[in-house]
Amino acid sequence: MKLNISTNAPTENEVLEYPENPEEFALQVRKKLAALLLNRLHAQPVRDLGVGVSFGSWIALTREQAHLTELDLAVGLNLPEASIPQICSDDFRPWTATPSQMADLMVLFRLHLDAVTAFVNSHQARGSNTEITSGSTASQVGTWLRELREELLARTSEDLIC
Amino acid sequence: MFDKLFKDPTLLLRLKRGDEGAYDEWFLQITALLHAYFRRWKVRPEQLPDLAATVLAELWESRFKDYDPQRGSPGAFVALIAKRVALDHRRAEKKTEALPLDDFNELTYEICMPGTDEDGEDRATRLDSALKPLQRRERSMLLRKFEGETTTQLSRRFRISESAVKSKLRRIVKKLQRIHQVKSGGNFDP
Repeated sequence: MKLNISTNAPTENEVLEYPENPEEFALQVRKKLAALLLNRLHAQPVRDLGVGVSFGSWIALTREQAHLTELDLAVGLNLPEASIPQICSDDFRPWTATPSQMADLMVLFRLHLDAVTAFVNSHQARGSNTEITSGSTASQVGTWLRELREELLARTSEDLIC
Repeated sequence: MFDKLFKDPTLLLRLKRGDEGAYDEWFLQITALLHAYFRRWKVRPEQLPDLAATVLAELWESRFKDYDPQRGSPGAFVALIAKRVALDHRRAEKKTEALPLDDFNELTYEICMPGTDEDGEDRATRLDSALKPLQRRERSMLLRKFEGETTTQLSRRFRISESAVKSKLRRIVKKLQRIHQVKSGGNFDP
């Protein structure tokens, strides 16, 4: 996209002070803006998603509350924009994401590990057997949760664990 | 200078209709203008995205609720918020400079600079072992300070006052010095 401030043309000095790469700068600002707005929205880590709320719908609702676009979120999570509708859908299962991706999402949304664990457990309790989702058994999800914890520790996000 | 943002009626109309392309275009313009604005305030380049994001967050959260057309144009309203952010930033910078944490700064420099020491020991390993005696919360606070978070940001994150953050950091440094003086028999040398 071309930076075009057509009306009321900028002065020479202003042009000199514009970023060398406006698109790159705008992306950096989007990333910071997403983190800032979500951090202000949830000063304390979120430990409970609410009764009967799917993971995806909680993400979608929080994004709207923070006045963020899908692109803001995609930039904040280092993901392609096309993946955001999938994350925000009711069918999204956190354990289908890699622990690293999930940790990024939890850090951005200030989501406590307890909330994710509770979501996993409630899903397990509803299931008729140990199969949580196709291809993921309870033990695999347990391993995923442990790896997720390590990812959070590596990001010095202790406040999302303890 | 921000009046430019509100002078293209076609763009504003597209924005009003919820056109995402128009929003992206507008976002590109406002970030470029904020970049130019904060450059005039001699803000360091690495801090520019933070400050621009702070202005946008204020605008997004207020949703122009505080905007009074009697007092000026929408561009002037954006400039007012940008100026407030710039002033807050300048004050925060002064505060950080005035923070009587010389030992802390020395310690930060000593153990947090990336790279390898003369004896070949990785600084990350040194940092890890140096901070081991601290409690998890203390370590978290110190690491975030090392990463450059301001006292204000730390006070928000840990839900304590700014003065409590400062005194906690001082206590953490003293604790580290005490522990490592005992170990190394005098000077702080983690």
